[in-house]
Amino acid sequence: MNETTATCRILVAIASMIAAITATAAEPLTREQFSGVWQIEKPISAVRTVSGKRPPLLPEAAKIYQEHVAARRRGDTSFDSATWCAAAGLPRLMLMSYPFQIEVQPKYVVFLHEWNWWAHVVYLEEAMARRFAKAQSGNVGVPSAPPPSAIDIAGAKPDAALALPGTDPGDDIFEPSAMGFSTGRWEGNVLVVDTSDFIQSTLIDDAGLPHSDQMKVTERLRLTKTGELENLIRIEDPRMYEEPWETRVTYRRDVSRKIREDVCLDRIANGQAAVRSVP
Amino acid sequence: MKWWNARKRLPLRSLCALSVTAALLFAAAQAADAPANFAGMWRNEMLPGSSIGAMFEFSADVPFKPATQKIVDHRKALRATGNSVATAHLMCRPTGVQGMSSPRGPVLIVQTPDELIFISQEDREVRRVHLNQRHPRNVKPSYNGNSVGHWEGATLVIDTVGFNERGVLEEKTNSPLSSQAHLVERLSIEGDRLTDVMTIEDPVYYTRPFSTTRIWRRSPDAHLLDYDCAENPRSDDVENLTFETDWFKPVCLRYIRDGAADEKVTCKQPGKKARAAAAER
Repeated sequence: MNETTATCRILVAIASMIAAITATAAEPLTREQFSGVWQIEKPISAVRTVSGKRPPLLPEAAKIYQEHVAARRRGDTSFDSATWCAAAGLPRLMLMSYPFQIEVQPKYVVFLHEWNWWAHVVYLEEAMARRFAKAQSGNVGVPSAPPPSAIDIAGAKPDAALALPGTDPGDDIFEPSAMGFSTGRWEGNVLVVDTSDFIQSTLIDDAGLPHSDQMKVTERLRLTKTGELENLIRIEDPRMYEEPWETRVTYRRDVSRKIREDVCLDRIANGQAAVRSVP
Repeated sequence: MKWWNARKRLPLRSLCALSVTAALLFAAAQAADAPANFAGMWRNEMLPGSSIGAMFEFSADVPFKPATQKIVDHRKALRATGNSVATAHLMCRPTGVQGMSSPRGPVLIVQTPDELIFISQEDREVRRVHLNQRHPRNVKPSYNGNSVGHWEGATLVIDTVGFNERGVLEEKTNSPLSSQAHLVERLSIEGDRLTDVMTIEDPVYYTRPFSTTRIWRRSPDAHLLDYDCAENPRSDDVENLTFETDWFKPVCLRYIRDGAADEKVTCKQPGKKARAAAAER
């Protein structure tokens, strides 16, 4: 091999590497196999623990639960805010018989639930750096955004009313909510999602299992050898339960399914149920 | 000359130069034509510090047809008396064009080879753009319509049809949109700014196509909060609204009596007639 050939080979190799790098830059990143549309295998009405038992409700919580069950039996669902299409909350959305799509991004894992077009974002560590810094400096604010209707009806000075707190790009605001705030991390090929900052008004399952605003939910999601997505859900809520407890659900991938525009308020106006009951 | 003989005929030096050039050209082409990376968190730039009103106006000179001007004037007058028209936005539905042109909070864009998904905090929106696909032959009308996108170099061109007639163009005038509305957007990125040039065509309500530009800025530290419009359906939020159709009339309300809110939310299923009328539309 002469000198020219050697130089040529090196140059071609370098050029090819540059080409390869630029070509792969736009491709999706790690753990992409979680991405796709999933449907729960066995929709759950009343959740049970991994050992098939009733969740360990404290006496006061058991009373609330029994009231819910009795009310639903007589057709009164006023204890369930999903009846009027409020956010179903977590973990209930992960137990319902509606499909959801997962998209894995480098900084976020996004759960796109079909039910009432709820999207839930899990912030991976990289997306959380500033929050932690702010929380440490005690600089996390509280929002006070009025409902959109209040803004519009105010009428007289709409522009002034629209300057809401919480819309300033400098703000970084957290408040308790139905879906809570989720952070996630990868432990090997397991996605671990921690969610807290809940409000108390949502339910754990369709049957009416209660939780408090102290609830912490940890989900461990992994793909099984047979291609299902398994979710081991741990509930920690010392105000409602004697001890932390776990339940396990699996989801089946549905490649043919697309997430549709589902508008709960239109469905109930049309005489349909806000949440489809489990068959 | 057969191609496999070419190597023998070409001087080695030329072949080398050719290979290197080809590889580098491929790299350059990849870089120039690579789809822009829209993934991540964004905020509408026209927020505090800018003209806040501007972000809710589609354009200063929307070419209304005379009949449309009447609708808009009427809706403006209703708003002035505190009897605003019950729009998709006020009644907690997806808002389509309005949601795309006027996000108040952050927007997370998820980008995959097949799809771009826009997730807005407020109004709560999830908008999907199917990449390298055509509109289905029979688009089912929806609030957000059916969006398909293709790349022109690094620019994403989004074409949306199939709106369900329940949305409005923007919040200030609540100017109407028909099922024939056609939205074309050109999205590009320069530095940390995303520019969306939106062009609307709707021969039912407007005399010609018209455009507006939205600029979003990368906002990597933002987080989406839950914006649950339907959480507390107070009757006093809606009692002064003007319902142009029954479609948006609320089923469930927490009644406010003598200034005090009921403990329970009451749901009244609409009668058969209303249900049939709603389904027909």
